[in-house]
Amino acid sequence: MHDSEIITMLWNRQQRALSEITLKYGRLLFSLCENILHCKEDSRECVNDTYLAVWNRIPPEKPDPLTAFLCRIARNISIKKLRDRNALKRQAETLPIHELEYCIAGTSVEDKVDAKVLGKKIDEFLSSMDEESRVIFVRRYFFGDDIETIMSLVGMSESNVYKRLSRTRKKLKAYLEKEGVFDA
Amino acid sequence: MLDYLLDAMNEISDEHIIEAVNYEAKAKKINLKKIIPVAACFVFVIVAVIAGTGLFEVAPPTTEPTLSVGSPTQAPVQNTTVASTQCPSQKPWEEMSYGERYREVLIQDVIYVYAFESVAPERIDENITDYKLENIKGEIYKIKGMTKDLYVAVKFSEDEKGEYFLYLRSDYEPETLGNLLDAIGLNNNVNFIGNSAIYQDKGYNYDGKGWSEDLIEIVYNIDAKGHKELSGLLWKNREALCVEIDNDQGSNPGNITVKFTLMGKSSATICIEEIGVFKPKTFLSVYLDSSVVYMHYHFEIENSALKDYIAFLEDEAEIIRAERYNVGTNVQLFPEQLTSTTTPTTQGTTLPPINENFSKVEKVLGTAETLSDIIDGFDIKKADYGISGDMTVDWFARLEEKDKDETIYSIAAATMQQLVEFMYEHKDIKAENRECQADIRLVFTVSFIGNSGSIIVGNDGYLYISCGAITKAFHVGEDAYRTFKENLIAAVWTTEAPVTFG
Repeated sequence: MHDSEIITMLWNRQQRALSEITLKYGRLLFSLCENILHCKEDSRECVNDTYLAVWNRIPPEKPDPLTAFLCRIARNISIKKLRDRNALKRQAETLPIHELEYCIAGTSVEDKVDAKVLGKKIDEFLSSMDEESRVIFVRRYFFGDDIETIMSLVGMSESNVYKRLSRTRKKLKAYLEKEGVFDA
Repeated sequence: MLDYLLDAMNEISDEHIIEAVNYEAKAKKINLKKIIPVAACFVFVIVAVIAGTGLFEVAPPTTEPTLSVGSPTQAPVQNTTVASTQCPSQKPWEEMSYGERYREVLIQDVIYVYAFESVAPERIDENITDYKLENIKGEIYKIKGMTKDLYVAVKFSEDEKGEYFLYLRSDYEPETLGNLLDAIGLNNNVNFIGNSAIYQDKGYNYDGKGWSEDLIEIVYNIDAKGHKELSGLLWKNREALCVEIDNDQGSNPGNITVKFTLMGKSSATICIEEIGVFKPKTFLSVYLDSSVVYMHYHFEIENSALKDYIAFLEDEAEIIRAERYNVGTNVQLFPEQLTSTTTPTTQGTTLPPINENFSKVEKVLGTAETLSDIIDGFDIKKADYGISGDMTVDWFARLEEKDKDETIYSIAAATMQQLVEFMYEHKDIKAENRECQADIRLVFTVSFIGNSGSIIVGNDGYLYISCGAITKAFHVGEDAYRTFKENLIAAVWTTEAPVTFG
């Protein structure tokens, strides 16, 4: 079913829209939550909370694209859950995002720009990268995919995925410094 | 720091997220490209063998054949198409079975498609003497307990192993469910036994303040007695007419989904679904899927039949798992959705049965004599954001022109006002019962009290208002249509270039 049809159904308050979302995006959302929470039960709960949030937000919203809208909600809910159970620090090492700390290493708390500004700069940087590197980066640090999943997705060996991520991080660090986001 | 980075990564643009989600498909395409030269070699070898031996005149069996079959003679609905989107086998020609080599065979000018299964010798019935293969040497057999309308077994003369391969007629169109049940051999070849039935429904809970909504899923196990009961129920619906045939990959879950095996092998599905609220229709669909061929037959059955199948599950099948997903709170229910027969189910959920009383939508539209009756009935007044009284207008509208692609316009907030004003302007026009015959149409998707409908202004000079099975037409005149269209596009609809789909 096309996303626009799902949105029309949500606007008409037809709960079949949620079944359609489950069919079309259930697996994607569950893996996204599971990558962050590492707990099937909590992930299921987050996916259900995502459906509830979608039901409450559409209408009035009419997101386009729906995929990104769903992913953002699921990711935010999962991160919130992680924060609520105070497990963020404990799980820091298991979350791929910690690898990005290298890009802002040496930056003091006072010098930190707003997270939104940093995010926009990362997005600009990604636009300048080749598609494959960009996909690997987004799968790793937005979706939290493990290396095996990325390997099978892009058809690369483990070492090549690691190398590609490492090079992209270096380039990102240089880009942020050049853009004056952080001092070199 | 981790919090900070997590928040920053949330600013990644939609475009990059979508790209990452969809990348998998592109990666697969690359693999296919690698395969194509290999496949081409196979085709070359096959053609060379055929040309060399001169034994058969066969359509070249490629590794990824796609076949379209023309319009059927007594088509209830549409052309049927058998298309393979995936190739289950990339084996060299020598290693392929005869069925894999000849994915399509001609029998009496009809194309039969290999179902990617062989038939056990004990299931083979008599040789069909009035059928013959036209493009290759071999024999055709009837399968025990089946008619020869849909499935046949083919044994190729050259095949040293002497296997029987299952082929199905791609343009088979059963007139009734009974025809299909005969064709697949309900009593001899179908098996429902196992953890195979799923019941899905919506439910509502009242906490004293408001209603919340649940999706309920119950999985049942069917035993030998249940198998017999279910076969009997299906046979009871044997007169149900086939209303649609499709070949889409995958099946749609219905209120009830029952998986079954055919001849002990193929996994097939029966789905029963009620569609619609105020004038519901119930469909029973049979999905006969193999790894590459998808044949789906949809039959319309009596609405009351769904209750029979639910009663069968409750009485004859054993619940092995029940789950309930909360999907929404503060759900608004219309009074007519709740009746005195509302009862709690075993899941502790209240299931309000669909009320068969005359609903408000049907009452307003069905009895409207003038446009004014509809305006008053749905309390339609000037509005800014697409919602007025009991009517909601979608944010997109379509311009449909005969033989042209649709143009989709996003609607500015004032469009609603313009549409309502147009209705008010012609509010005294008498309603006619007439289906839309316009070649050019402005189509607005609307909903009346949550029920999908549409408002169409057509170049035949009519304004059509539809919801459910009811359509009312109002003759506004062709000049009024032209003025409305020009004003709407020029003054109100988005000034950006329209998005064209299709």
